[in-house]
Amino acid sequence: METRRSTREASFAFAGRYGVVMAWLVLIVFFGILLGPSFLAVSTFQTIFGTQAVLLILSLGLMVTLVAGEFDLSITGAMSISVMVVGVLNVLHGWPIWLAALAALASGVAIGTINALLVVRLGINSIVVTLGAGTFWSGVGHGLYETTIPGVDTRLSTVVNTRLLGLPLGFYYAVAVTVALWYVVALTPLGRYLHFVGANRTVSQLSGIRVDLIRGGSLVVSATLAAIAGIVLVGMLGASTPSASSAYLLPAFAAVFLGTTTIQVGKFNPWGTFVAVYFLITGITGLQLYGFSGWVVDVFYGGSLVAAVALSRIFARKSTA
Amino acid sequence: MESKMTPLRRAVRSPLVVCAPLVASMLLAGCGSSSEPKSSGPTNDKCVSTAKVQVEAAKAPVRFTFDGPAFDASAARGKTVHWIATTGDLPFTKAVFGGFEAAAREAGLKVIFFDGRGQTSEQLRGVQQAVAAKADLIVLQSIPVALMGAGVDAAKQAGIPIVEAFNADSAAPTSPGATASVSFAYSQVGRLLAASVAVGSGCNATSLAINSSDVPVSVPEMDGVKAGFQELCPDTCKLEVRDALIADWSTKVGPLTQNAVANQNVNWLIPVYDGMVQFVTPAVRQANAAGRVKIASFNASPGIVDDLKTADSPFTVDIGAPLGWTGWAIADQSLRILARATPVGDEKIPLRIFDQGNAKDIDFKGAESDMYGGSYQNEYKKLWGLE
Repeated sequence: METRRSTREASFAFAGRYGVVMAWLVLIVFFGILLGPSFLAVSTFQTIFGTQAVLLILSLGLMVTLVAGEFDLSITGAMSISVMVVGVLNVLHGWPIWLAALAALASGVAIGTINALLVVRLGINSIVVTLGAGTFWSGVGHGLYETTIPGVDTRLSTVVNTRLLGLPLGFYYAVAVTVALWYVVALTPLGRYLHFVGANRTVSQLSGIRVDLIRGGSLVVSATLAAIAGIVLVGMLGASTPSASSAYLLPAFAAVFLGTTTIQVGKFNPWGTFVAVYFLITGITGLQLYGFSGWVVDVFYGGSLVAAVALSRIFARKSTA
Repeated sequence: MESKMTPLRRAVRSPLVVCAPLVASMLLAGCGSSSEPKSSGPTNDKCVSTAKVQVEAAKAPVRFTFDGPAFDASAARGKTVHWIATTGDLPFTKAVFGGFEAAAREAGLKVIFFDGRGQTSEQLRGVQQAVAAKADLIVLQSIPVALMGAGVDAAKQAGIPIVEAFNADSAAPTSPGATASVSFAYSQVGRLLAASVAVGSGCNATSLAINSSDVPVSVPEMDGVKAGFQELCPDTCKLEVRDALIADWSTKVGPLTQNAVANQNVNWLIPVYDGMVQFVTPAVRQANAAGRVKIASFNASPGIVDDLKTADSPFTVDIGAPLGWTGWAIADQSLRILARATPVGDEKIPLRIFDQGNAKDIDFKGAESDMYGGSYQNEYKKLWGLE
């Protein structure tokens, strides 16, 4: 009797932990049967994996702040500045592309540092600071140049779009960031401190953890990764445009929160975020190939998030019942 | 305690820090150029008569003037076209795509629609998805080709031609990366707006154009307005240009209008797209300027153009192009490429001015032919060898 119960609890725990991964596989099988070769073609999966590098890098940065118990709503503002800095400096001012990209990266560090100072030093809520900062930097992005700047040095596109094993290099950069963050968050003392600070700031402080440094650092990492996402985006587009970044905010939050329902259930975790990004895009691609368009993307994003979080909670309860 | 503060901490804690965004805004705003409208001059009879000729000609029902050349479109039968729209929820997109679908049905094309949702990343994914699905041709609707770098490269490698729509003036050369283009004569739209304002003001206009610089085709349209004023009334028509990005129309266009009409000399407003008119008209009314200020715009969008019939409305002129017709024009260009005929330079999509004079006799809610006149389906089918 006891054995059967513990087996049941273990099954629920497994379902809770790998539910989204299994749902992802089910989705692939479902659309494979429904659409046949048009969905199962290698080129479809190349599109699925090859187009989400920007969202994944941006989401991973956001995840770091959420682990530390902060919010960063300025990621798309930082990304917008990065996108425009590359275009303005490289195309309009003739800077070498590597220097323009470096300047874009520095802009991310600077934006993150300003956010950190306002949140940590002045004690302002990170939602308020980053909401304002995101709007501010998006406005500055439009102010730098109001429309598209085509003709960014093609070497950046080569560095992002060159294919390796059928996938663009941008995908591998995103995977590299995932692995690096997984290592830091899951396997180092810094990762544990991040979780402690996120779970209870006061206790962490009393335990001797440098809470302010970790909170501020998480905001700097987030903005810096947003800037990297911006550089990758310019490489994908071959141009800079101030309006390209704003659409990423909600998908990034959806991916990070959906990521908490898998791999390390209840925790913001890099591999969970990775799975969430590709689960969502697989479903959307399948629906679009089936003939749906427009509204179905929002329905799938929102519906999947709520359903996954609810199911994860149910399985978690059953596994501990 | 205070004396122990570092300079940085002191600076951050200083109340002056809250001024930083204000200073930044002022600095950025200062980078743009603006000039106060000058007072208007005397009426110019020659200007009025010249402008009137242009306006009256453009108020008449349109005619099919596109002359091909003809080609055999049967070679394109069964091929697949992927239509990547900038966003699917615009009535404009629905109307143009509706025309394209109808034409594609006649020609035996398969059509797949992808909604880019106004997001560059989605639009790029749409192009890459079309390449993965081995499309025979891709239509980029209102999406700059220069922004689809990786997608355009992939399409080029796969040998998939791209037709761009509404990215530049109809007379402009096709963008690098695209095989052909279809567009409106945006510079002519601008000239007709200038002519309408010249007629309406007796060539004595102090006008404000509300531009949307994030839309690439705003450039030729604004250039047309400026050129029109320069030709018709360089000394007596004043033009100031302000800007509101699409995403900010609902929040910025109203206040911007109220500020503009506070200047008692302003007598015409030119929002470059009539989607802005819904925010301009209430602002003019709230400023008690409806008797003095008139509005001219472009697109003749369903639901918006109807306001020309409203008594005492400041909305006076709306220029439009038949959207279903435009869908057939995009199909014409696509079929030429798929049938290995040479694409044309200009599909010659007509324009028509609607104003409070001719609006009362037009059913804006009826068929497109009721609004614009002219017939085009059979003309295109003849060109394609289907009739």
